[in-house]
Amino acid sequence: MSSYDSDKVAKLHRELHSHLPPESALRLRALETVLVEKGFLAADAVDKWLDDYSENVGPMNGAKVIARAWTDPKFAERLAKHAAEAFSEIVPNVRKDYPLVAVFNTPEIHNVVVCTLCSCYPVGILGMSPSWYKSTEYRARVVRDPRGVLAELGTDLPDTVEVTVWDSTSDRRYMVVPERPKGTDGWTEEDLAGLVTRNAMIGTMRDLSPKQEVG
Amino acid sequence: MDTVHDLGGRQGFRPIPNVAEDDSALFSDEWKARTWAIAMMSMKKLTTDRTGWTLDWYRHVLERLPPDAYLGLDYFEKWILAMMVTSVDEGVAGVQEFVDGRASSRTFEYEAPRPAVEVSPTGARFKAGDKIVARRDVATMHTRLAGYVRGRPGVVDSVNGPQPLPDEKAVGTIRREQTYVVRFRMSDLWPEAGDSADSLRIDMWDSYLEPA
Repeated sequence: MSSYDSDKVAKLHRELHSHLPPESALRLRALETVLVEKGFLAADAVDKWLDDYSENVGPMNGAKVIARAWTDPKFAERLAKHAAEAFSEIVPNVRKDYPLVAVFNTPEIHNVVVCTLCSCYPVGILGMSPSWYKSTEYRARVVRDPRGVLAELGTDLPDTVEVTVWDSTSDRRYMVVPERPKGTDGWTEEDLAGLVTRNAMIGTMRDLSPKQEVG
Repeated sequence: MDTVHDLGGRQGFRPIPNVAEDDSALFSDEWKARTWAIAMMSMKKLTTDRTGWTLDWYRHVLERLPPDAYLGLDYFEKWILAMMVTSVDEGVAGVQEFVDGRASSRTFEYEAPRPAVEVSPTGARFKAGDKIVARRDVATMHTRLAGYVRGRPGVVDSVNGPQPLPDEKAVGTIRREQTYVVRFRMSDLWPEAGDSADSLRIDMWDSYLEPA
């Protein structure tokens, strides 16, 4: 059972960190080998899990949903009210009770998401977060200097746009819905989805210019 | 505990790393993908097997990395250590087995499995628009009350339903409390914010708040 013994686990960390080989890949191999040999994990479980994950989960889920929200105002309303239910209309394997919140950018408001205490992110829908999102630099800085951090990531916000930083500390997970770019009238949902980047769904990118990456 | 993981607003950090990362790549390395898969499957198994394991206890395990390791290691390197520590703590494997890279026996047994205990929920004290002050002091082993909002005035933005209080869930007790999104003005958090209209919104549990 879990010991809930804080000092015990701190001591275990020190023992393991000082005695394991320093290479991450070797440490991972030791973890996987021991858990499989013990019978805690099945031998082929990791490969199966990863196949399933890469098939069902990723930024494309968010991109499809955002493209629908851009073309269907009623859907956008449902997305704003109950994000996971709206997601499940487009991506059937998304659980309707996934605690997801969609926050919408407007001409006046820009949203950006962080988890300062660990690295919470809607991994069960959008897949793994970018490595910079999990960095100590991003976690420390974006709540204090969001405009400076966004500028480093290539987004200069005018003073007329107000920034809201969302620090995700509970079970709720946040996704930013960017504004539909100008010059995309008449585009198909598929082409629109091709404009949506992972960074835009975190809020470190604001303008999705059609020139950049048409699918 | 106020360990080094509570990073919000800490100064002196470098520019954001890896900003040019391929936007389509979920994992930059195979070992990172496998680490993630092992962690997700292990967490599910510990939950199914009712060992008392909770995500908040796991977060605390991560928080008890030595501070220099917490700041210096890659995210997934931290997870490898935390998964090994968890395995030892649960009785699944021993330190020496991980150091050797192979199991010395082909079985394991949890020590006296015991599920997390559910206790009666606490009521909600606030509604949207209420002025609050975030609690200043935290004495629990684990908390999700970020240091940079403690003692600061804010306004309840929305009321979002009960969730288990992390401070208790980390030690195996499920006590549901109302959660809120609380809005803080940047100018109430940071001396250099001046008259900025920018704001911060953060999830908070009922007991993290006091009426203003």
